[in-house]
Amino acid sequence: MLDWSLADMARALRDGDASSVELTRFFLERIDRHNARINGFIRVEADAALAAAERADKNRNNSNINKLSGIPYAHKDIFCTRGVATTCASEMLRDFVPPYDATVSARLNDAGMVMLGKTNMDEFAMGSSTETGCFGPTVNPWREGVVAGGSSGGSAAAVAAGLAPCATATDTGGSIRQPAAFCGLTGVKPTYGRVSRYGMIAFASSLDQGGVIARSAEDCALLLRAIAGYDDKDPTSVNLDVPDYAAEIQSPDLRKKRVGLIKGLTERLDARAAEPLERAAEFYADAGCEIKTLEMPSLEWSIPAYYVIATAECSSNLSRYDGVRYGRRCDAPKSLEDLYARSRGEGFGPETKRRILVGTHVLSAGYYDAYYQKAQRVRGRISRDFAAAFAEADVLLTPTTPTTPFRLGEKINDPVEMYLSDFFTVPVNLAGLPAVSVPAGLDDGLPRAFQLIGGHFEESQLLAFAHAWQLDTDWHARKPGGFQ
Amino acid sequence: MNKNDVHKLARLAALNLDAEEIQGVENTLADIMALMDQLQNAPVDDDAPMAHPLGVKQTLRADAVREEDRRKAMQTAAPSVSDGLYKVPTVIK
Repeated sequence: MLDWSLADMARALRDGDASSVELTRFFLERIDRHNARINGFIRVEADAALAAAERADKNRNNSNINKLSGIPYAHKDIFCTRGVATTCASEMLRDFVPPYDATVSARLNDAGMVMLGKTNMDEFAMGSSTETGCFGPTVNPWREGVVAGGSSGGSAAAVAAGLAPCATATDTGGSIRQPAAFCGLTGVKPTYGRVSRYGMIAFASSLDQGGVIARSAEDCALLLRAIAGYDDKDPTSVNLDVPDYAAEIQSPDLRKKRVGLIKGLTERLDARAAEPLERAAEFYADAGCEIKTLEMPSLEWSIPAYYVIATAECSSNLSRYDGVRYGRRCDAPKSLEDLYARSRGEGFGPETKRRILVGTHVLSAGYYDAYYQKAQRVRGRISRDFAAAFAEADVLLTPTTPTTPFRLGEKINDPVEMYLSDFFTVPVNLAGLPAVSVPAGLDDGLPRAFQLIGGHFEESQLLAFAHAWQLDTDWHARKPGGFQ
Repeated sequence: MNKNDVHKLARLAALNLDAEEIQGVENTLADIMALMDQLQNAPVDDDAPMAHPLGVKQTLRADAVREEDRRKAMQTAAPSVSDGLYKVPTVIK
């Protein structure tokens, strides 16, 4: 069962070769055995999972049953789940039990999927290492003492260690793609507006997007379809039909497709880091693609623009945590101001506070034009450069990360160094484009990847490119040792 | 950025910081702002600011009631509630 793809599981369930209860017990047992070592899950919902599995088994013969019904998944603890604590790995929400489901949660429930539990993350999704959360760091299953990436590190580690066949995740500046890259998995951040953000606890509203982490482009395609689609409860949700991604990526024909490399990007990598990119370019050329090099000089300012916008939006979004209606409230508040300041002071960790303060600064009188407005102009320029690039290319091929996974504790005290490592991922969020990180090698035993970026709502094409690579290579099927 | 700046920002953000935190923030904030100051070199003053990645407009819907009253359910997560009202320290004495 550990090697089964989502399609294999669906087939086994349909043909009666396995029941959802068996599948669920299988993963729950593995979580029991291995999770403590990696801290991928911060909450396991064994009883509820088995009940959902039983329901799925009972409904097995209904004609309109979803293909994914009865298949377990891991759910990032940023998605509200009715009746189940949703914490964003923050003291602020440690005991918060949402009275409603996020749209993503509801869609997966409706599809009959089985939620095994909630996964660890950086606090309020702010981080690139899953070290800032209040439940401790997540450890990369590929090596002790190494980060799983962030902020969706818990989801990535859970799937990589075989504790769940797939997982939900979110991406604001790379938080799906980078942990997927660090854990040898395939991770998709869809186009902004593709997946509803209703009930997905907000960090930066114009950048956040829900997506998936799984062991292949095919699996991602299946899970993405289950969560994507218009939702009138999310005013930024786009009303476009959701294609059958898994069907559309079959038998990919890449002849005459154009793959764009971005000039100046590989200079930021050492030779070993550039290798997966070179191999990918060779592969796509052999598959009949035209490989072009494009210029995008505006990318130079993407990190500062991103961090101005993200911190500004986070300072606004996190102002809702005031100790009044939900979340942590300090003891014996002496006044309303004391209630706010102490509840927030106690509830937020250092990185979250840092970002709120920076965001407050860049939005404050006298600084708004120089920082926030300027960053929005840069954002406009970057978006236009991408639009021009997509007139010349069907997909763009870039690295996902500058390095292999770093050690726990290595960058956590140097925020700027942590931020700089997001260089390849943040431009994608600024422009609202879809992107996928694809496993592409092992470097001294640690996973390496490349990133493909597509045009708006071109997820089928993007996943087809990834799938074509995966038909020809087996990096995505490799697993870390030690998780029997 | 000095301690006074950090204090002012903490007040604006309604964030309680102890002395150690203020020092920590003062140290790292300078580096973070130096990163953001790189924006001043970006030649984009003729570019319009972009607030939304797809440039879509706010959608509207009919002005009709769609939600039922679920106040009780919504307030299960509240720290202190009485008669459907959220309780806070006295504001007006």
